[in-house]
Amino acid sequence: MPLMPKDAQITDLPPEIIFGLTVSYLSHTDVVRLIQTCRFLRHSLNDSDALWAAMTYKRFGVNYIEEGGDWKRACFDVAKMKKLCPHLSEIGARVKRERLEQYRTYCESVKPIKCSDKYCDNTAPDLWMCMTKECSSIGCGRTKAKHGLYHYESVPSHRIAIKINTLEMWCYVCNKWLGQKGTSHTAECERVDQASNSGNSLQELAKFNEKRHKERNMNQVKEGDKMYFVADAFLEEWTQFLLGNKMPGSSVDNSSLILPPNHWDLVGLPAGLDNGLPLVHPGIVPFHNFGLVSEATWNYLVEEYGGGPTLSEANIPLNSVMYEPLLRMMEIAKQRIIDFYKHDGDNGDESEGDIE
Amino acid sequence: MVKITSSDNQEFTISKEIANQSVLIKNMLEDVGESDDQPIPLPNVSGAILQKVIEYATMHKDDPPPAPEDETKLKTSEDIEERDKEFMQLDQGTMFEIILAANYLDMKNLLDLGCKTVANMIKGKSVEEVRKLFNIVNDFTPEEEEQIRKENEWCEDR
Repeated sequence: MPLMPKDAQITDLPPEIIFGLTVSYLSHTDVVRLIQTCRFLRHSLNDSDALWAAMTYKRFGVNYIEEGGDWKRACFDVAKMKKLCPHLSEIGARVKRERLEQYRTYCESVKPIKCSDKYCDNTAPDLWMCMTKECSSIGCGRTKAKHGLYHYESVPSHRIAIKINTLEMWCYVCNKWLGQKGTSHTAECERVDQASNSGNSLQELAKFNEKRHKERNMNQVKEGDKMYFVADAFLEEWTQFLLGNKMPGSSVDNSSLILPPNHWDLVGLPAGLDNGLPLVHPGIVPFHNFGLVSEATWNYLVEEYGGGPTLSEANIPLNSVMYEPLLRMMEIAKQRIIDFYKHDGDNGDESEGDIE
Repeated sequence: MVKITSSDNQEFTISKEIANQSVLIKNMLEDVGESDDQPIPLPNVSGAILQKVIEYATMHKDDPPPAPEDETKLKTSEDIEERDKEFMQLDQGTMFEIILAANYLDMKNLLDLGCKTVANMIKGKSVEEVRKLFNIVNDFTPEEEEQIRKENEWCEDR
């Protein structure tokens, strides 16, 4: 072995040391400059997927991208990477297999699956299984005794749970459904799919997931939206379906929200509205008898579930003292829905951030 | 006590606790057994560098055993101890040779220290500044340079 020349240089370091110190201590922008200095450094850093995957993980805590994706681009794509749940990175293929195997065992056992809490008797559908490696906790959902949520709160590193009957995942940190087709990023969808698409008996349960994913964001309302009425009975069923607790429900029946024509004189409009539409009952209360949706959502619901009749602001007379309380309550209800989703959006953005 | 010899045949006698900081020497000692007092040859390290390495190992001989590495914790080069910073105030040639020696002798702490020091020198510098700092010759052809520039020009945060 020859002696090192007295004036050793950075280019005398073995490539693995250069690679190691870069991945450990330098930022993605430092790397871009280093690979432009000379052939040796470019070669050592090998401007490759391995390097950029490591840099991306370091920067965002995310170790997956969409199939065929470019890791170097991902490392600089803050907007995209922030959309991905970093906690999914912990759910490797082995963990998924193990979880689903365990799940199958539960399904095939004689006893019905129940919440792991020993004093809780809640059973399917609203049950969640913790996805953390070697954890066997099953907790009931927020509509029940919340033992799933409590499990996360008592062991905060157990961040992701899978809904027993739909095989959908929820992240307690990001506070969102993961891999929602149409709304989540493709990379996240693929990552979640790898987990759920195994075994036919399991797929049966999850066959309405795509419909769920599509409909989950539909109760959002924007400032200028015209409001449509949906009877509470339908909304209740729909919510249970979106939560993954029930199969899709029956058609919308808004007839209970209508004021029968023989009562029209009681609100001072014996001839009904000028536009000929049925009158809404003035005594109905938002979030109690009905909910409000946007025009687009209403059209979708009628198309997909059927039913009616269509009721909107056009079914309320203007300048009627009788309808003033209803109009005021609707205004408040609409604002509440808008605020709810605004708040929801904030939560999504604040996840982890740049952990550099 | 353990005897070691450098590439230029300088002999050093060091205590076992100092010697054991090098995993390479530790393993050799375990292989040859305690009784053998033949010096251990270290043909990849010069006497001058070995001197510095022993100085580092002596300074750290009373360190508590390292905490198990936390995989989830991000590594940082900002946590260098003051005495280590002073130790690394060397000319670049010596610094790189110490990194190479630490790598060869399998001394994780010293290797980490060297890597952190180099990383801190690189951080935030422009391409030209890095070349100047490390006496790097730009060996790209103009065509290559243009291509690399194009390949990386979009590399800004979006």
